[in-house]
Amino acid sequence: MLKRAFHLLVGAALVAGYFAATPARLWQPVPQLLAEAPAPVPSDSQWQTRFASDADTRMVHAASMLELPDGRLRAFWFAGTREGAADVSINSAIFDPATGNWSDETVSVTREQISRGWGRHIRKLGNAVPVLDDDGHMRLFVVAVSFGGWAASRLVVMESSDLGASWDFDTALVATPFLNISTLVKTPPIHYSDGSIGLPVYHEMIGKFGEILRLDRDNRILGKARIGHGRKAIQPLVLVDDSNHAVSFLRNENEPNNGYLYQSSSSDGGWRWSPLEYAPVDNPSSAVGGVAMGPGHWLVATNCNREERDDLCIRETRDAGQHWEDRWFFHNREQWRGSALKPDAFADLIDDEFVGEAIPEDQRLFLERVKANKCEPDRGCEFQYDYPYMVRTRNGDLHLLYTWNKTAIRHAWLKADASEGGASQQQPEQGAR
Amino acid sequence: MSLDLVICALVLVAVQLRISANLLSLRGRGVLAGLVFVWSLLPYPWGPGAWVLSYLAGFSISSGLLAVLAIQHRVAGHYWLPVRELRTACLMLVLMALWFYPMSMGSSYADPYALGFGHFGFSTALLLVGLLAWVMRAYASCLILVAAQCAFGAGLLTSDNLWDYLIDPWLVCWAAGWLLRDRLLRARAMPAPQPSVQPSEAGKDAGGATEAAGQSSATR
Repeated sequence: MLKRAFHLLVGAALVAGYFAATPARLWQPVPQLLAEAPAPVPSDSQWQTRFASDADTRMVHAASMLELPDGRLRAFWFAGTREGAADVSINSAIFDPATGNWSDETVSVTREQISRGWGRHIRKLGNAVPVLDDDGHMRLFVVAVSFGGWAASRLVVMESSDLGASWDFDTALVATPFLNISTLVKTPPIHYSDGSIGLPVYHEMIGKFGEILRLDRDNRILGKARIGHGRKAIQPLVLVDDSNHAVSFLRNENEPNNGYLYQSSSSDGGWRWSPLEYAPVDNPSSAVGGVAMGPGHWLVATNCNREERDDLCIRETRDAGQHWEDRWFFHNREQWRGSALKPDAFADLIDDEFVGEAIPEDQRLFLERVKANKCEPDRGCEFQYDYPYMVRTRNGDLHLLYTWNKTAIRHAWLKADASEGGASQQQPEQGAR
Repeated sequence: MSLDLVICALVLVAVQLRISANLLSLRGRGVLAGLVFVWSLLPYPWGPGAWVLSYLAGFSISSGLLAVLAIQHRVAGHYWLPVRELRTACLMLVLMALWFYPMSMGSSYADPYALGFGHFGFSTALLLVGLLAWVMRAYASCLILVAAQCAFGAGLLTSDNLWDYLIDPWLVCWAAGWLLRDRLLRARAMPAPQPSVQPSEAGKDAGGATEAAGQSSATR
């Protein structure tokens, strides 16, 4: 009798377990993607450029940004003596379009701070991507590594209730079953109709591929979708066309590399993605940024050649990628590619890039840092403009941040209305090289 | 203090009890186990639990329950899990891991790990597996499954994925090691073939010895 009762009890527990393991949200309709309202590309094409970072550290990299409720921008990047060093922190600054100035660079998040909050060992920090919720609550997704290299990355979430002035550790995302390693971020999130976000992430261990993590406001992972059917495509940039359709551009990590970006698309709100195919966009296996201006109308910031990161441009398509045109060039150092420049010649060329512009720190120290970062005794000096991150603000302005020779974060700003401001305005060339 | 840390402390105690099984008296092992448990719960950077979690990520609910059983076994000398059931469960776990981990880490486009964030099909498949175990009277497997599902429903671990409540790589390693040891002990217990004995009788003898060996391996 007792055995039979126990038997039935275990059977009932199994049924209870089924319901416990089936989240209530599965009974609700699937949320739709939120697309930004279509807008024209500013026609005057007068980009203003300036430095966002102060050059407080020898190396900076991987900038990201978002628009604050009052129209200012807050940017983040990682900074330290070198990539992967223990002293790397996540730094931040605010850009005020009314004055056209960046605030002083401040340290936002340190690895010690995450270690204390999480109660785990952190060896180094990497890319950071911010999100601003409707209630003014800000989140920062940070790549943190406890051991090994970037393939052992994990994602931690920091939270701020004062628009990024101070941060508290919230949680660590568990995104893989094997030691929870190999998850990184680089590109902006997308938004869903229920207030959840889709965070584009990528993996760099057994396979190199992109994914979207769907997260609620409490940073619980609600779902995950793998992008593309390939194994060597990372750093997915996701551009939303409408409530169901989105396209993703991914950095091609194949070796040898044929020099084209990968592309995939989804027609069901980002849950299933088409097989990877080559996009007709040159890229030397480097990160891309971009924005959607409307359905099938995309701007993609990238290095515009198949070999090196020594140029930077924005390409535009108005027909969902059938045809692309070079819209603006910010840098083009092709003629010095492979020329093993001497440090002094390199410094002269670098100097020309910010004529009439305030240099973040004393010029001599700044140039020394550029040379230290980009010159090697056996290979000479090389230019590097990479890791673009692009946003479109509510008033239609376009903003681009990118790593400038590993030494500074550079900001390019295209106003939606008439061009104004005190920074240099002449530099980008329009059209093809 | 998180449940992840408590489970980690239980696993560390189970390992310590296994290592010290032949080195200390029962009382000495008990005192040491208490010290290891409390020490493991200390926050970073003082406790080893936080360091273990820093490198190995988290342990599953199943690992935690097996650690409790292992501790109970070391203290009481009696193993609660039936060996035949444990053998089947370990075999299934290892076979599933060979499929699950490579796929989840990117060897293919299909991603079984994504199902763990909430999926009708996955929940139903687990229910069917549980019912199969229930019909076979494998109650321990049923209860571990239910405990993991209920913990998932309550969000007791850091992870939001049901897979992380059910299994972890270290549980798979332990299961593989247990199967290997079980196999060796069974082979060792197998009597040498006797020319005069009929094949059917030899098989019968081997089966009996096997079960005895399995039981002994689990209770040692």
